[in-house]
Amino acid sequence: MPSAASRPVSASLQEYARGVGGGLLFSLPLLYTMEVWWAGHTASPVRLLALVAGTFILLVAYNVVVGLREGEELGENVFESVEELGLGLLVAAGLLALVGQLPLGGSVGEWMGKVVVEGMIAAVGVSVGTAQLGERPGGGNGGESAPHGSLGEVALSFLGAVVVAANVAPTEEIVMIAQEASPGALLGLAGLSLALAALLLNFGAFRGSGRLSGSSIGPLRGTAVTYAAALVAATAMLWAFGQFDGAGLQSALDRVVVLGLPATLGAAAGRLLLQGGS
Amino acid sequence: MATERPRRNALEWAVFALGALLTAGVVGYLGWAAAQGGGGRPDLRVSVGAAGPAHGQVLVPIRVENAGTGSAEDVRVEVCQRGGCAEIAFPFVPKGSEREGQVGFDRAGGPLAARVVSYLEP
Repeated sequence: MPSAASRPVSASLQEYARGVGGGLLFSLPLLYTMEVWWAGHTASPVRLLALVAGTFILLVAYNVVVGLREGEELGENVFESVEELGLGLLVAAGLLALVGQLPLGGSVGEWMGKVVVEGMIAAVGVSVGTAQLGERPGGGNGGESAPHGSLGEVALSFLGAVVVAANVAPTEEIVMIAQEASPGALLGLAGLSLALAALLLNFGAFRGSGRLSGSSIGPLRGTAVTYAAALVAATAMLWAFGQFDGAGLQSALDRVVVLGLPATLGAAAGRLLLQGGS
Repeated sequence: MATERPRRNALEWAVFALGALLTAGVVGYLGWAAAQGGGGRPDLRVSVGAAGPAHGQVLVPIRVENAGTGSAEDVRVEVCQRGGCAEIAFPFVPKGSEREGQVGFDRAGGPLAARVVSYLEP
């Protein structure tokens, strides 16, 4: 058993490097997206606060699920989540400045809005990068993740949905597709989302899907829970990026269904890919 | 596989402290901004600088400031002088921010007058 000596600084640096790499990998497409810059300076402070709070909860939940040590205390997960938030904000601020999106004539509010929106995206990337891009303790891909129940699987689905769908959630195309799609087409999108979730989770023999047969959720419920998590994630992302502003209930629902397709793909893939261990 | 967690080193504590500070700063600023209220209307003011010659034409610097509590989108400013007008568009002028640009005329034509023609509230 390793003693409780301090972890070497080089190991910490490696972990931060993975985190920053993951943060960049995940947030660069969105850093190059105009609509995200606009969302930054049109979002109200209340919405930005809710975004920070929601991201923090998601980070803590994800750190609990992929906890590499059994019985890791909540305090440890909160510690790591705060680190990830800080790194995400720094990565976002640095890149926004490099691409000229923090103009000298801009106000603190404008800078803050953009850094917060991009920073939360980068923080999720830092968390996923730290957990997924490195070796597990003990070497290789061995070891089991900490056991987690259905709540953990929902958290993974939610995170997977965010990772995949956040790239398109702020774009004009989501609104345009929703406006121009017929009710039949929207129903088709919803049906396709459900079918893809069922396929990825149960029938495609994807790497890791065998693990899910021992999960606490049966296949039918698993598909439904995945789609539900995807729809909730899609709703949260559309709201965060201001895509519901000025939209009636029908239009808003249409947009959720449209974004629901990439969100469901992400949610299903998330449960397979984002768990720790082999 | 249970492994005992090694103690945090100084670097990890430093990164945590930085993260806590940044997060607290962001939350504090947003809380203050939320308490101020806002999400209101833009308040756009245009100022015209001194015209200068450039490549056979005259360029006039324009600055648009938004002193309001709401952002303005697609801001169009018209600058007129004796002999004609020119227009410049700014995609976004966020609240509390300013943007600058230049409009061109064939020749200097006396006093310049600028006004905001239109903008969108996003």
